[in-house]
Amino acid sequence: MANGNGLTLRKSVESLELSASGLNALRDAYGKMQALSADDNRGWMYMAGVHGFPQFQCWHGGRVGLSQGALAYDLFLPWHRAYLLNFEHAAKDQNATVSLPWWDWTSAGSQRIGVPVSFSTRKLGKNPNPLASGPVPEVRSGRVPGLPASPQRRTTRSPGDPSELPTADQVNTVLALTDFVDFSQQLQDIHDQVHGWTGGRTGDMGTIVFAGFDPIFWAHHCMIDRLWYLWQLRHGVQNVPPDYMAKPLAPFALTVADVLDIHRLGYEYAQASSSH
Amino acid sequence: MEQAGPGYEARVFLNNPDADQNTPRTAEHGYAGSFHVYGLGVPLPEKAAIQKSVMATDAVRAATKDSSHVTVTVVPVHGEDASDSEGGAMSFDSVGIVLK
Repeated sequence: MANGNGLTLRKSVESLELSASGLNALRDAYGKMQALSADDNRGWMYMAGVHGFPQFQCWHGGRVGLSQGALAYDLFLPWHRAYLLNFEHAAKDQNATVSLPWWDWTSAGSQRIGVPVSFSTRKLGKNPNPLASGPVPEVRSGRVPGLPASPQRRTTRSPGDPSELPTADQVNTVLALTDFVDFSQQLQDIHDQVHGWTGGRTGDMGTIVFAGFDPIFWAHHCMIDRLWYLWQLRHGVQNVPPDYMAKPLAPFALTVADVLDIHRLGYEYAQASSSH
Repeated sequence: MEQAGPGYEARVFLNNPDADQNTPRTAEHGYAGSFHVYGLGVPLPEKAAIQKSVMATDAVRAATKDSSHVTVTVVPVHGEDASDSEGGAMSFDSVGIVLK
């Protein structure tokens, strides 16, 4: 799905649910990705494994994956932007018309029902809905110390009360922060809140190790990336500490400077009717 | 902080050292806000460092109205049920109030 400038246009889940073609393209792409094996780098399990098991390359709270020590800087926002872009390219390999949708957990609909219907309906006819769960590869004992062996399975969720999701007021307070580090820390906490809300005590979204295998992960992170974009529109596209610019976003061949302008990356966010 | 299990909420109260998971989240009870921990889902050899901040301008103003001494109580709350909480999840290198 591209706009007149050739940019991929990312839309909200709620607007996608109004368009059969957009929703079908997403189901088609995710279903095909989920059918690929864990060692196929175009596939669902491989892509999710970059974030959690077995690669653990994600950035959260000033740390990479399972590393012990916190660093003096945090590449949470730029790393996940590069990660989403890579994932979107893999999805387009399966269906060229697809674009990642964002889940606006502050919307009136989300505050009433929580996870959007398109992502919570378990079955489409007789088949599993590829937006409701994703495959998790078999975890072999000893590959990650402390992680128990488990057979291949599909992700689960245990969401909380929808009224406990972050509100538009919370988001608008964070969007008003002028310093990138402050903004990143506070937005990351909202991100942490939604992971915990969706996963609950037993669901996969609540843990770094398995969150990326749940399809709602990508819609959640698309919302986070969109909020960073909205913050950039207000406070400056290049607004990161100068020493961040050249930092690499492994395993992607990109630096922080490379991911600041989403138009250069080839995508755009649609206008939304929400309050931010 | 403890991050081995699933994510959890940590509620911050000012001048309410007896606060627990059942304390109402209201200004009258010193509630300043919450932060959230995204669980690793896999044990680490020891608790890993993480920096968290809570914006609490109104709560700090109220807590310092009559005294410059402020106690900070952090209550971890696990799961959907606020009564389902566990102790020992956190230890702090430092806790500070930053004025900007």
